[in-house]
Amino acid sequence: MKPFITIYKQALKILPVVYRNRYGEPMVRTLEDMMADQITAQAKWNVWLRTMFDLPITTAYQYAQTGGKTMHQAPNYAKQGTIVSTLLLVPFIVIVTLNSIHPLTKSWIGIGYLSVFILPFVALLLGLAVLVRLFIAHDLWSRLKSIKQLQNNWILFAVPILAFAMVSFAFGHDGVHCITDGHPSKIMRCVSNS
Amino acid sequence: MKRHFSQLPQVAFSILLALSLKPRHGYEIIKQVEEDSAGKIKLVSGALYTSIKKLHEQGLIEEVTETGDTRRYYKLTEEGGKALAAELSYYQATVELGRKRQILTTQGGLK
Repeated sequence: MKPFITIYKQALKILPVVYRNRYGEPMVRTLEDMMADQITAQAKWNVWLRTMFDLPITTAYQYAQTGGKTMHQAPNYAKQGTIVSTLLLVPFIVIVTLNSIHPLTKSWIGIGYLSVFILPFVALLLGLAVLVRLFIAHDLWSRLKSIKQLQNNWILFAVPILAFAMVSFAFGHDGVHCITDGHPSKIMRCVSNS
Repeated sequence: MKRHFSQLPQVAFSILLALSLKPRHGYEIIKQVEEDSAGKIKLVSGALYTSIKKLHEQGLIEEVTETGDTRRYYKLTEEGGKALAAELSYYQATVELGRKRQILTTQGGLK
């Protein structure tokens, strides 16, 4: 039983630090109790598996909650900036998804550059501007010194990082035409050949 | 703020119901919830403590400080008791309505 508990303890490290500090120990203790109460090895294994499968859901939920709390407490310009930046990234996701469903190819050329390059680039600038203002106005740097604070404020970094990834994908690899014109199944090959 | 009926998610309601008899630790709550729901709700520690955190933040449950056990025990707060009673009376009214409309039998089964 001990190796299973050790694995679970290690896996709990993916949880946000604040949540883990508070509930990590009782979570482990509860799993220990649950497994100890099972008679057969198969039943113990089932309990452990169910608990492990639940962990990613709990983790995602807790990160979403910490993100929500950050946004709730953030100044208005940070809220608005993050929301607008997120919206600017939506066309990129839509165009790639639509191309994956059906090769819309040529008809997307006109708005392709706007969707997959210009809008994410604006989102990146806006996200960075929000961060810079937060760093200056609220001494964010000192708050982020510990990993705990970095995890709590992940949402403020998520949009600029995502936007940077999109811009890098489109611009760094000259892949705009691959996304807008190319057949979706060939996007990655097209990008790597660009 | 006035608490409206049926604001509690099913798992949260089940946890409050499990804590209505006495303070319990994590696994005791899981077992009681499973028993109360006739095996329909099977919680694991992640889902349990997600709900516990929420209930704690809402002031519906609190930790018991002196238990003589290394496990963490939880009990209903006064507000939690009120929320549970409001939820139960809502369900009671709903069941009675179901019977009146002849959707449910008097034994609680579907017609």
